[in-house]
Amino acid sequence: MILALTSRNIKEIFRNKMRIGFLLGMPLAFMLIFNVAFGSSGEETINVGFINFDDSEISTTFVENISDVSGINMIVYDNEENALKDLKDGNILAYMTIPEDFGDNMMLIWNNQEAEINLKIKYDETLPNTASKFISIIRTYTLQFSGLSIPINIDSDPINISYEKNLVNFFAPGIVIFGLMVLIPTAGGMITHDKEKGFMERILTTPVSSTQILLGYSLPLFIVALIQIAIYMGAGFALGMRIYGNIFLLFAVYMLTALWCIGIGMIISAWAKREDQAEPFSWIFMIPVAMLSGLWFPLEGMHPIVKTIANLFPSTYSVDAARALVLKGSEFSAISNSIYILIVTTMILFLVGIILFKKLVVK
Amino acid sequence: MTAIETYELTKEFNGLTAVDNLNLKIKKGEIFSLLGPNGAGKTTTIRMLSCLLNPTHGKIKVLGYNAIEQPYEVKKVIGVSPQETVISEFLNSWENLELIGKLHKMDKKTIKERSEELLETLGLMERAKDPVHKLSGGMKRRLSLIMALIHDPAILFLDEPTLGLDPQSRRAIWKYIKKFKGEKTILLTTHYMEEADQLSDRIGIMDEGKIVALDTPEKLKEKYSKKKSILVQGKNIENVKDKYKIENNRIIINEGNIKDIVEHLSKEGVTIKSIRIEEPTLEEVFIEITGKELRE
Repeated sequence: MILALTSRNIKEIFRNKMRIGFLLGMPLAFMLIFNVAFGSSGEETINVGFINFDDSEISTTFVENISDVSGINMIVYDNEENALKDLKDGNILAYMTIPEDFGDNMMLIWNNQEAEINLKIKYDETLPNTASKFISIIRTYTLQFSGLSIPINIDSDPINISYEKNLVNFFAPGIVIFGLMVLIPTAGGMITHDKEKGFMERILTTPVSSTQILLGYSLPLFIVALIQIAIYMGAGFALGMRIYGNIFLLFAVYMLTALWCIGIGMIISAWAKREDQAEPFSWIFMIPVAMLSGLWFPLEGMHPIVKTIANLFPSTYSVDAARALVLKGSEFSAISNSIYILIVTTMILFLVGIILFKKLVVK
Repeated sequence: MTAIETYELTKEFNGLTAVDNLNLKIKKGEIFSLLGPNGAGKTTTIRMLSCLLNPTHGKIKVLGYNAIEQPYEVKKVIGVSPQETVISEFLNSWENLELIGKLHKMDKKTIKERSEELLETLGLMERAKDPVHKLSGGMKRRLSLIMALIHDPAILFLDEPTLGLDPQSRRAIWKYIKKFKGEKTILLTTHYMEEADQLSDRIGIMDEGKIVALDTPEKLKEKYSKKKSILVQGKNIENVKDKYKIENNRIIINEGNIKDIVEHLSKEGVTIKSIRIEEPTLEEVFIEITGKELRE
């Protein structure tokens, strides 16, 4: 019986051009935004400055070879003041300082000894994607140059971005999770639509239980969510997203996200009498939640009250877990708390959804 | 043999009594109509009987099952056609019927055979593969009706089965419903007098949550309506104005046989042009009992 309802609801979703257009168009639209925001600037050349405080042969070779890298136009400065002035005037978009111990430390690393190399990049804060591009170029280049996957720290100024934080990687988890949150109005709207049009009553005159009915609505949306996740991941990869953690674990976090979203939609649909109540209500709920759970910007540095509120929303845990996997390559143990919270939240939401449905819909 | 029984069935909404201590006994194989104006409590009654609404108090028994305590047992034996056309817009007619069939745990083969028969009988076969949002209003209505029949239920609840249909479609549905006489127990609500008159074994006239009269259509007319009226048109009708009632240039006579009347009128010098006998109608019964007119 669940399958009969699932099959019906899949047909209702996929044959309704508006609905499927929205559900799959949303990820595609995000993909385009991704593209415009982070992609396509590949052919442009950016002006960047270099100040070399090290007079070793290694650092000279290092700087000379950078000039061969496509995408950047190198301007060499003697001192930092001039570079800073040009940065402020907009003549260059960023500059990098090579410390005086660069050559020595590189030698030590090549000889398998411990050493730390710090490259400092100062960039125009108003052009974050340019900085991101520059940082990723430098990162690739330094890896090529050193020939080893040794960490070369890039201290970026003024925001202090470590080299792994390219912007696509930072924003992708938030975008995917926000995209999946569209399942809230969809689930809420679909169930409320059938309530409003009397179809739910028709189903309720047949010997089907509330749990079977709600699973019959959740399953098709979960299938849609799997397609959405695949689209998002594909778009992310196409735009240079790199996942440092376990991709299957990331997939699982996204799937849990889809499930709690469906659960919230279910609860909204128990209350809403009409579709035009369910959908706007879902959005009114979603936007502040998205804002407060660090989907668009990090929560670090926010007021403690905001952080406390954020901890009430499952989206916070979804974003934390996904971002940890994408950016830091965290192991399961590092994000297990978030995952457990998501599992428990999903179960509670479904349970509450079913209880409310029994109470408010099956009278 | 009673199929549906209610004891003091009552439903209150925010202090308003929609159904008021209803005691009904509907026999197996009977077509029973609830006739009443809007807001009389007909739909609320059907919704309680089909386990969609819990009564405020009272009991319901459907084929021996307690509808409040054993809703799943009741749902297995009933078919409900709601007042509105309720279909799944992006499925075609086959798929709509298949869905309801599967929810009633029917096997695929039986669903197919039943669907074929129903689609054919109600003239939907040709368009059965079109998505239903492309069908005409009348076709959708017919599909909505046969979705209540796919699992061949012993009891049918039809809430205004022909509401908003053209006369031709209405008659087709009446013909189909009549076939079930004696076979299935049908409770239908309607505010079309003709529908109640044509289909029902018994009619319960409902007003303000109560059954105010209950009998066969014939007996109701006999009991509550005026007798037959004989309407005579002709010349010099004013000659008999002291003896009979005259309205719109017609003599209205409620008693006596036609032969005597004709003789008497001739004697009085009335030249008869036409004579018409008017049968009592349910409408008159209804107005007599409730003091209200039904809107068509």
